[in-house]
Amino acid sequence: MFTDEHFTYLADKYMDTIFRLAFSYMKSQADADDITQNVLVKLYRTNRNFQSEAHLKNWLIRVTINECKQAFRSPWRRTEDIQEYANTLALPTEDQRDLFCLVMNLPPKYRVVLYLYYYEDHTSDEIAKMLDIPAATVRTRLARGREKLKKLLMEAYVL
Amino acid sequence: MTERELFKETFSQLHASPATLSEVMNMAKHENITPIRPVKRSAKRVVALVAVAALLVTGAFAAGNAVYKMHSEPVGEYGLNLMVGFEDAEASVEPGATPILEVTPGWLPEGMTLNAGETMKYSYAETPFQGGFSMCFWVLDTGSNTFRETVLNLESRESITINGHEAEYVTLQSALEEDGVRYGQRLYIVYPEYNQVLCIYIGEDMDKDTAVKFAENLVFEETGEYYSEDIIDYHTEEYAENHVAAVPADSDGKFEATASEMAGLHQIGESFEAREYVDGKWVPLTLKVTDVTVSDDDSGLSGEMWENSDLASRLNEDGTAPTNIIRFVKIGDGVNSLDSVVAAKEEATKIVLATFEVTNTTDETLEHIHYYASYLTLEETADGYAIWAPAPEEDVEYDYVSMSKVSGDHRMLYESVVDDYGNGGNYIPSLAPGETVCVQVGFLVSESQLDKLYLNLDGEGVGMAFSDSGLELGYIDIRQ
Repeated sequence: MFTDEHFTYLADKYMDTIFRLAFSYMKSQADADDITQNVLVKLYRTNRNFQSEAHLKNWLIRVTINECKQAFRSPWRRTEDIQEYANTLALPTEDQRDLFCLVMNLPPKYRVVLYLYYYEDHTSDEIAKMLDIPAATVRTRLARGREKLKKLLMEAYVL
Repeated sequence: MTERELFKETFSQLHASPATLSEVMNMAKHENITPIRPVKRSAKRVVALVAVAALLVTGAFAAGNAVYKMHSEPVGEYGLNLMVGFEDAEASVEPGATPILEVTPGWLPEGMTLNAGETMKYSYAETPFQGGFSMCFWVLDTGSNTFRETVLNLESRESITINGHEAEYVTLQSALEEDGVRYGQRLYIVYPEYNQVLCIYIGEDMDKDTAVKFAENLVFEETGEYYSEDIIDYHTEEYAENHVAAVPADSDGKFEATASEMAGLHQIGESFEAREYVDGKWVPLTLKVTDVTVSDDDSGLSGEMWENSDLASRLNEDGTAPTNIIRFVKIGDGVNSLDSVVAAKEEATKIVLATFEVTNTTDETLEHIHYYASYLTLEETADGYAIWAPAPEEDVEYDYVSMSKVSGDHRMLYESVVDDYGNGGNYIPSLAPGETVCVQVGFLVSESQLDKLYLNLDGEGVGMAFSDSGLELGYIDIRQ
């Protein structure tokens, strides 16, 4: 178990990481907040030993993905109007608003991989371990996700 | 702006609700967590469940009036399309009639436990999170009512039955030796009474008979919840349309740093300021790498910390450093080609021990000071530094490099100071004001890496690419 101080530090540091990944999966602020809370409670209660913060972060990502998978199967999922939600974010340019909406409109298997790869800087091998899928599948999803995204973005002259 | 920069700028605007932390603390302090979602069960769904239960009594593998059938067809040289669907193409299952199940093992091999923080995943205590069994359900109640998965890298297949349920046991081939335990076997079992296919990923530390016994003893319990119409796409692979996927052109991380980004580079013997998070706050510390030694064996190394270290376990039985096999791998698509080793070479390894001093420059005693070390292999370029990786002697195309003995993430494999503080124990127990402690960390490196070694003490542990925190603190030049 962590001390309250250590936990507060870790929760503060990784809360947005968990939330962003959960949002990429669930496309809902409310669901992503619920998942963030659940994951942090698991962190608070875990007796696991973490060798490093990198190790801890990988564990958090894996637990978040598991929570998302569970929640995704629930009949009580909430959905968000992504266009409307994008307007509430402080996205400075039209390009970024477009990118956000287009990514969020990709199927979840692409947007989660894209998020972990581009935002969290994980390698395809690391993502494979987190998602429990072969690395070749991650590369396939990355390639197809980028392809789909590029096709959509080309129209908006973003990339 | 690059794709990655655009992505980062965009997604950095997403933030959890401000109340998250206080709510988590409230939840964490209570014995039971309040369920987030209400559990409802409609009368219609109860009727549907009763109908399915009635069919079960008859023993028929059917949903409604339709009968499920599992069949398969080879695709390419190494692929197998597995399909589960109705014999009658017009048949369907009422959306929302598929129960969400909880599955628990009625039997587990000795020493195997549920993975901490996870569900439906079991592994041995000695190899946590690796191998063992990992399960997932695929649901058949929407769309075309068929399950289809392309099994890649197929080695063998066998149609069997598990407690009277149709099942397919497949083994997968790999040209590579991998760290840890891979999942080289799978068992797909059709549960028509639940409109679901259970897929069990089986680690290579398990044999087929054990996996079958595990599957035969699974206990299914309905949670009272049902899948909605809007569920995941169960066509898990779309290989039919495009077999070969290109590896993304851009890199997997920051592989180059300019001279100005590397301005904080330190030398052996140089003291520099660092900071660590200790008991809820950042505190300044002074670090100094005092010594780096290279050896071919474990002479002079002893004690409990050494004997229990990952580094000691990687050495030959006589304590000498092992030979490292470096493989250059071309990725296959799993359907028409397998991953293949296109070139390989052997190199001696060396034990590298780095000693550094940590000094408490504050006026208070610090406790439980975290530390973590990794190394980078760098080469100088015209305008800075680049991550170095071995290259094959032959002129061949390859996608990545794999090493048999050297740690894939360049992490420390031995540390001399430990504090029983949980989280791996890599903490300094206590440091009085002005006090200095010596810490020794060990790595196993391949011979060709020796003259490219840079130590990273930023505590984050990234060793395969440059990181913001590593550049900010400054790497330490420990080339030999």
